[in-house]
Amino acid sequence: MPVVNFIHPSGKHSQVEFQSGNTLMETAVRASIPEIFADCGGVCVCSTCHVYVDQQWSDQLNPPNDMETELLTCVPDPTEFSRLSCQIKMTEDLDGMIVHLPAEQA
Amino acid sequence: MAKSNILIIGSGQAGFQIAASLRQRGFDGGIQMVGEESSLPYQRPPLSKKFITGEIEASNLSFRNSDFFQENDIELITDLRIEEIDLKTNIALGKSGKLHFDKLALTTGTRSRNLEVLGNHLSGIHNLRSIEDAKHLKAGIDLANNIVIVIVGGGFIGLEIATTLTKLGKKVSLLESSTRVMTRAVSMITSNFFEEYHADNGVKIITLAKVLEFRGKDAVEEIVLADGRRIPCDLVLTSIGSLPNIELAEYAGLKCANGIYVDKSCVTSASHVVSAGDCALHFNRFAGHFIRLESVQNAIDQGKVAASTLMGEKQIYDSAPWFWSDQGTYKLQMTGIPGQADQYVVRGNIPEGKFSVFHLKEQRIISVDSVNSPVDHMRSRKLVYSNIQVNPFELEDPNFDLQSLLSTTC
Repeated sequence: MPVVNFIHPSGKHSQVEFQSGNTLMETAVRASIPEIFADCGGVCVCSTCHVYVDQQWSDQLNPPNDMETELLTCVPDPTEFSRLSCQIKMTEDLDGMIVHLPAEQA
Repeated sequence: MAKSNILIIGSGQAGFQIAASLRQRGFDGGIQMVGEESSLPYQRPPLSKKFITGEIEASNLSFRNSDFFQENDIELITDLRIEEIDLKTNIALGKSGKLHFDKLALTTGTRSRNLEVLGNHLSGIHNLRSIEDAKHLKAGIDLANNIVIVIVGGGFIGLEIATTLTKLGKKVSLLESSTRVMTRAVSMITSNFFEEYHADNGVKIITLAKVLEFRGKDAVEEIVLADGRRIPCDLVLTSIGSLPNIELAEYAGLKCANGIYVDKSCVTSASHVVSAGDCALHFNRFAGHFIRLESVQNAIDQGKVAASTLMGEKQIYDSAPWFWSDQGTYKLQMTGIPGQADQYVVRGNIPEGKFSVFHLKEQRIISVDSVNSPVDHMRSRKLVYSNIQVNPFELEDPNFDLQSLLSTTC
């Protein structure tokens, strides 16, 4: 099964299997990754599923839509690699993707 | 020292949050969570939208899968209704027997209000609260192509269902008893915007419509209004609000009114019992009075505070309220509590469907409706929280960055 590699603020790694078709947020939440709150359940209204996609992988993702782009300006410490994980659909070619978790959510 | 046992009655958003937060904070005692429903604890918002269209299945609604409860040693008991609780002996009584607890969390939520009129026993009249309700509603809708659906109640659920049904190609009418939709929650400007939007989508909205009775043989066939108008229908959804499930608390002697009274740390009138979520009646400074907030945000944030309290680390619940409603192409987000506003300021562009309406009272923001304006909404939460005085001209100036009014980001 394909995996995604979460890197916690502490530096610790969590390798999590994912199912194609699920979002990155769903994958994280089901694996009990504590840094992802996902308060709104994944409908792009809260920004608490914020992650930093690793530089090597960020180009492989579909770019954010307007709503996501706007919400990303509201997360603590946004960078050019910031994404809302509820808007990223996992596919086979993302096997091995590295995602950095933020220290805090909005 | 013996480890304590916490019993959570009610396995919805707030109950689940308490269980999850307890473990996250390192609570190592026993946690039992009891719910009346058969499913794993799940999120309700999609029940009026993607669940009805079939885009999401029931299993996708769970907050976590069953592994989570096992791994975190949270004993989840489904299909169990607690009939009575005794706060002297600390026992909860259900069909399966007695549950002992040291501390208790009452997260019993609310239930749909029924229209108490003649004919409300007829088949084809639906509520929407649970997965089971949603399944029945979906089955009823999928039954025939040309059915006429009438929604009674122009609040969030009613409007969201109206959008979902028109998306599915159904003929929909919506009856609202007051002068406008979402009357207590948003400004008139916002109500008007959505009434126009839904009307453009083919929804027939009738305001000042009071239902007198339902008529039909076995199934509902028409609704009779107080003014004599008769509305034919094949299926009805009543979405007229909720009642808090406080019976257990009341009977056990806890102080209740339109909800279970809690203090700023979610403690009820019994020091070893907390309550959180839809059923918790608390003093909310954003409302200026006691209130129950029926929202995901309140359930989550009160749940976190209640969990801390249960662990002896009292926190104060002081979050700015916020809420959202997805209606078709428009994301409506709200923050604060509307009340006696003396001024309304519009920011953005209403015809373009990208705007916010600020409700001001003595130049302080008490509430904000935002339509497809997520940044305005996020900043407004902080503005509501900070309760600072604002300059209306700055609010309505699209070039003025709201962030500059705040000392921290967003």
